[in-house]
Amino acid sequence: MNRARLLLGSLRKMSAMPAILLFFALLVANSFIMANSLSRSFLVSYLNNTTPVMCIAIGTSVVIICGEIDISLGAMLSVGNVLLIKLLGAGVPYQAAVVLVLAASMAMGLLNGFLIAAMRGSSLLTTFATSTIYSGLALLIMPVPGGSVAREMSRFYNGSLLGLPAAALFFMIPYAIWKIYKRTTHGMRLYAAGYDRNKAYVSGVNVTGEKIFAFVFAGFCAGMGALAITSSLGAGDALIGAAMSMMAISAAVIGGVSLSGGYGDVTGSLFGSLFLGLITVSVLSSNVSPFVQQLASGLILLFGMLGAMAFGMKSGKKRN
Amino acid sequence: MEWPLKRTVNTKNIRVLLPSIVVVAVLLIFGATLSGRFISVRNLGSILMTASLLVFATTAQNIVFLSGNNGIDLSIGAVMSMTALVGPMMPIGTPVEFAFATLTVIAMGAVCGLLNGLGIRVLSIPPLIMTLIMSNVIYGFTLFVTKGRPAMELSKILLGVNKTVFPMIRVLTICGVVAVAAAEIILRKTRAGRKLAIVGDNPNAAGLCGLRVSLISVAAYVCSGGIAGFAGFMLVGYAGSAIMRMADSYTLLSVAAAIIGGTSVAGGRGSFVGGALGSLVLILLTSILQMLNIPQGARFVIQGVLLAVILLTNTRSEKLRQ
Amino acid sequence: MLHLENVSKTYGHVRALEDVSLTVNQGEIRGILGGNGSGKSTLVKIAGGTVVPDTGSLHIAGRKAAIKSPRDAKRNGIVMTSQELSVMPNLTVCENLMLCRFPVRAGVFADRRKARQTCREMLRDLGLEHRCDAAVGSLPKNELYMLEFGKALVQDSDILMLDEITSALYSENVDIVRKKLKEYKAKGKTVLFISHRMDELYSICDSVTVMRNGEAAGTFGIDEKNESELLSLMVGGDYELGGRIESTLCEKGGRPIVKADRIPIPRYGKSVSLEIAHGEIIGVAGLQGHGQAEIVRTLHGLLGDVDMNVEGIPVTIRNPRQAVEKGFAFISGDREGEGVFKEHSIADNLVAVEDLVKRKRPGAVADVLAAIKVKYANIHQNLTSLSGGNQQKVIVGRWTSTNPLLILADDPTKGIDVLARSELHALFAGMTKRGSSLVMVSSDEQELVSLCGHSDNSRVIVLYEGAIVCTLRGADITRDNIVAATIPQKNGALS
Repeated sequence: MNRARLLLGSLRKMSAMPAILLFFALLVANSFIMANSLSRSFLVSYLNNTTPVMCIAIGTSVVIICGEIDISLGAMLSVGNVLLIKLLGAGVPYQAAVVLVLAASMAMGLLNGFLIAAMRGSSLLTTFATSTIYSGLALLIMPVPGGSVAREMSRFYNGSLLGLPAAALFFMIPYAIWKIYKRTTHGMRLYAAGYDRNKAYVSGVNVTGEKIFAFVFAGFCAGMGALAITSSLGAGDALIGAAMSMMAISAAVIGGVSLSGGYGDVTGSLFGSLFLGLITVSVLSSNVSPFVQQLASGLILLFGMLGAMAFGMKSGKKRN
Repeated sequence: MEWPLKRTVNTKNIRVLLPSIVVVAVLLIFGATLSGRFISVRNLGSILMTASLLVFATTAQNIVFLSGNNGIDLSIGAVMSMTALVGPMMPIGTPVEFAFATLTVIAMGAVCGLLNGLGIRVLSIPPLIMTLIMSNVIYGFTLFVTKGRPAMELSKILLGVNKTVFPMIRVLTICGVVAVAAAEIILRKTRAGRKLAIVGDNPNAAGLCGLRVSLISVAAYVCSGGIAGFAGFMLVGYAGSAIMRMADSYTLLSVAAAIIGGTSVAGGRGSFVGGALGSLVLILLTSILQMLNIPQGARFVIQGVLLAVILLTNTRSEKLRQ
Repeated sequence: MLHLENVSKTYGHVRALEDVSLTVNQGEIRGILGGNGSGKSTLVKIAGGTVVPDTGSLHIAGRKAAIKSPRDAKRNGIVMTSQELSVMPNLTVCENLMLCRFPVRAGVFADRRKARQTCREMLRDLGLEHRCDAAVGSLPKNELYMLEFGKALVQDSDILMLDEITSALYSENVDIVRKKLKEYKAKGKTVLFISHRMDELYSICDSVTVMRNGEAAGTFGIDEKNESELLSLMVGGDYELGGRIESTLCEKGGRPIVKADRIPIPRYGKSVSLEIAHGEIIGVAGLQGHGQAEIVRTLHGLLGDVDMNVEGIPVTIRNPRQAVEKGFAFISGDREGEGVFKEHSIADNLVAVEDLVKRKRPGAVADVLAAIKVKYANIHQNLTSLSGGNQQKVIVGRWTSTNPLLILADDPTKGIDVLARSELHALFAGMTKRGSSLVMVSSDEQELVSLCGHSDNSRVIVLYEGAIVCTLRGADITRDNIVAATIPQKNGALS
């Protein structure tokens, strides 16, 4: 009996709890509203659509945990997307193109990291500026949406790997990297740097280094997201990632990552993304007029956010 | 002793504005060398009008920056787009109807600002997140109300903002100048303005002194929303029509303009005149880029780089090592 | 072992260290004594790597060392504790303790089992074994400082520097610290021990360096000088223990102006009742965190509703605005966080309350500044261009013109040098002479003695665990009596 109570207690303290609960609650509620919403085909296609945001959510969470914020990841994803299309269209072999896209994404992440960690710019405003730069870059590479990819790519993405949806690979790789990183001593140092960079510095933590890692990793996640969305869409669009940065941040907050840094984990934001993705799908497929859809999703997002923050406050982690 | 102290025009204030003035001059000269058309009365008049629109947005943003607590209003563009589209849906045939419509759009913006302010102060949602989410909700609301239809066939009164009063100076420009002057005077010479700057400087200390910090902070967002609402109305009058998201770019530009003008994003220090100069700098830059037929992508890159450079010279965090 | 040569450091206008040289031998426990602004913290921070000196060099075991960050310092065998605490609530006790030297498996992975083992041992030595799985955020201040101490010990460095680690410790904690330091010394290590507590210096250290005004006033074996001599060196003149100010009896006498029956102290689940007379000075003493701050902050409406009688009329104060309306003033020791408007001028800071809250036309700024003895070039210069002491004087000046009924002060002279401190006391005394009452919390017993010592219309109350355990008046207000009252004896009697 005691063990059960202990388990329950530690589950309640898990920062990812609200996101997990919200997601399953919506999933269940949805099954009553929408036919076939628990069918494998629906779930897989929904997962495939949500994967790009999940990738970005991972990167966003790590940056927030280390005490900063990055709102340029959506723009980075757009760059990755159009770059990949352009490279493939120019005949570059798939493997090389993938490597180049990931390298470019990590380079953009490195720029963010340099400006913020080394040059000490304010992360919010600086990534605001770099998101404009990266959007511009994407537009320069592909001013008009278009292009196409080999059918094998889409087929791979929409297919299965070892019984699981192949799309999951794209976010599982960054997730695995993060979990490994967390197991090293760097993990707790990153959290320390996020909570209070001065205290971490005095404790001998290489604050700048940890933050640069976080930003480069976020770039890598954006690159993975770009690969995912390119495989999913089969085309390039310079504005594709515009709204994703905000969704990722909302997913992170709903997932229990504290915006002040040092608290939370990536698992929560994955469920947060799933929750947000489910909202979009539900609203899209419901009989609500398209003119109300945007408003409805906006309101649901707002309330989801408020709820998650209220929950965070109650668990005693409110810090401003 | 005279009160309030006469120090609106002293060396420190001027020194902050000097770089912007220099850059404006440089850009004007550069534009003129590129094309004689640049400094034509018509072109400059149009630049001044666009700048005035941005000035409204920047003034709104400045108020929020001044209020401190990491204040920022990323819903300004959304509010502007909303009133640009929804405003003309009201009857604006007679001056009375026009006045009523103007008050209504200001009220709409103010309500958005109130929601922002409440979310930020009462629910402790960070301003960045709250205003960004609100902008989503506002867009949704706008779409819902307008059913996607753009605004066309505007009343003559509204289009009157384009009327020329003096060479280069149109009605809209005068509105902009009046707005900046009024804001600056309120900031320096009235208790309300001084309270705003004090609260933004150190909210804890201001609270201890007995100031109503929450009320003043929320009021800052209400003002910002109201001004943005008015600006959207002016925007549709200037442009002659309105479409969804047409004012998107004003948000980022207002942030940049305010910072160029010497406002501290941490709060407590700022200048509306500086914001106006910053707006002028940005619009001059945009016009030059447009004149050079630089593609939109490159324009974004240049704007972003410019903002990054401004940020790194103005708003860096403290060194870890002293 | 450790040798600093010709070290200087200037912050803006303030010269923190002036050509200081210091040598500490291996196996020595060196105390560093100095008042506020003496440079002792800066000196240690230079060796610790958080501050880079303008001039000078540092040598360890004879070799010159370039220390530009705490990581460099640790690599060179120097570990420092932080006065502001470097332990973090988002990590576990174990992670905090081992953060600087976490054991690794296979070169990269954190060896949590080994860490926990080492952690357990250290906590046992520190008397904190029961805290092994506790949440850091729930630990009281003294245990946090012990954790900070343990974190430094675990790194087993050749040179250990403790920056005011004992200020929040109970005597049993200090005993443990003393024991561990002697053990450390026996291993051939070197210790620098900054403290302003004489008894600790005498019982722990082998020698002491006295710092004054950014210079090293001298280094002596601990047996060479007595307390008064050391204090004189600290202040730079003959220091008379227990210096006092003029008595401040005023005409109106002791009628009560504020009476609060229930000031809650939530941390201990108790409440305090207080009656304040006209023109009275009440000093509030006690170990840090025993309810002193709660008293002044609750009265000013910062910690929830409080019922009280103000000049005979019952009121409920819910927020600072109402408190200020009733004529209260609040002065915090946290200048940066709760006092200074750093983007504003001296004039703006001075008139903030009078102009914006009381809505009165302020008097001549220059006159007020002269009365509070602040030197400045221009009333429009930024407040931050003044020294810390002068900034605080301006903040007090903010309230003088409002003729407050009651001044509430929470350790207002923290971090301010001795001279400015006495000027602030004179300011307060002047205000009470003009009819204001003063309730002042202070962590410096001597200060309370100076302030209250020889006035009939004053008393010192001592708090312990949320209750007033002692009230001292008149000639009973001495440093020894206050200190004794802050930790009641085990049998309940006061020594």
